[in-house]
Amino acid sequence: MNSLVRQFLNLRTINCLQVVHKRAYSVTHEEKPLATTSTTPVSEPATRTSEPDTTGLYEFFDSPDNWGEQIVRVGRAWRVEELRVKSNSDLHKLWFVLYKEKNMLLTMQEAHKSECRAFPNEERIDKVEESMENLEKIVRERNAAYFKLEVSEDATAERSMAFRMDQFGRWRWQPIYEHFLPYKVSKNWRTVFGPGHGKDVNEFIRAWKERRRNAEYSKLKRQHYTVRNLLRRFPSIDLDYLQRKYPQVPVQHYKDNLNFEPEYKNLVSRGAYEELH
Amino acid sequence: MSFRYYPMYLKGNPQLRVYLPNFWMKLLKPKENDPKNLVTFKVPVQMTDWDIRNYLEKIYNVPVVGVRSQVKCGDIKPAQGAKYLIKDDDYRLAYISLPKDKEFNWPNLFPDKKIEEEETEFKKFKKAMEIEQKKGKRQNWSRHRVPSWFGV
Repeated sequence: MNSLVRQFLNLRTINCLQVVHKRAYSVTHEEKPLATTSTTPVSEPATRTSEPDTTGLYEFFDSPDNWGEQIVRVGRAWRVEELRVKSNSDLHKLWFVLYKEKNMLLTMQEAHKSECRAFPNEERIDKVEESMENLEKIVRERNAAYFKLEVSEDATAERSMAFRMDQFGRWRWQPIYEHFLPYKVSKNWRTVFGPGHGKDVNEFIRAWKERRRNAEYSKLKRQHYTVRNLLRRFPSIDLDYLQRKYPQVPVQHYKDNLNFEPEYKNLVSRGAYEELH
Repeated sequence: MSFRYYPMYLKGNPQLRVYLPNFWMKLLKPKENDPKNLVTFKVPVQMTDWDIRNYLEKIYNVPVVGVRSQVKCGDIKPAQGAKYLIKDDDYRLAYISLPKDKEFNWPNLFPDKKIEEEETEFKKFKKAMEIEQKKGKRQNWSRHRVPSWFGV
């Protein structure tokens, strides 16, 4: 360890860092996963010094023991079931632990990249992001429950949406927000979120619709082709089942009018072809 | 995002608070001629100077005197094995100045001891690989066990 760093990293911060590293992952590699799953209490964060200091900047670095290591072993991500048991304040504390861990990992990754070195155990970032996602999921759940209790049974905490035309002239569900002016009067809204118009938009919509139509048509054509081939290969196939599976294809019509030409002989099983001809 | 969306703020309303901040921040290595009390961060474009100041002061307890920032264009480079171009995301570079008496020194993240160990390991591995390669090498059986000086 560099001597310069030693004078800045006093004992308090090192302890703090270690605590952070332990809690960012649900289970450390030394512990067994059974005992600690749902009962690990998230203790209070380290007490903050009264005066702000530059030691906070050293939370952007990994603990000094891991500097230059090729392998850094950590535990797994927090699961939804483990987080569901925790109180709101615990979750709030855990969020900041995870946030700091994520920033630390991104900083270290950048530093390794700039030195052209391999960043050890890159999956740590994924683990932290996964636990953050899980935490958000739990918060969303609790919001929904609160709104159901306090507002109405239909109310959700999710952002409300409106079915409007977007900038490209397509009808889409858009998230809405509060305005000082009604949205139809606001020039700013019109320029940013308002429905698109003009030559370019029309051209785009025409091309977009054509592309969509072509895709649908080719899909239908493929269905016709499969039905014809199935009928040729298996003449005693269940027609009702085929009709149910491909409702847009006239199965009975194909059954009556299929042309068994000799070139299809290879497609048909030997016995079936002889029966027919 | 139920908790990332905030209602419109009108004068006199209670202060809007961020409960689950999610802007990432990367601390960058200072350049050679940078003053000691200047810290550089890489942050998302959406982050404002006030956001940066508040994040550092409230979450990391760092004294911030001034914040300046600029938006940088992400790298544009050709895709591997393809003819089209790829553009990385834009980012914002934030320059934070600490008080005059405070200073930030970039730690030596790659200690010499560890690097030496790594290099010795790599040399060992290289040697082993060379031996393996020699094993697989085709031998000239007509000159088997003949000394090298024998012949033209």
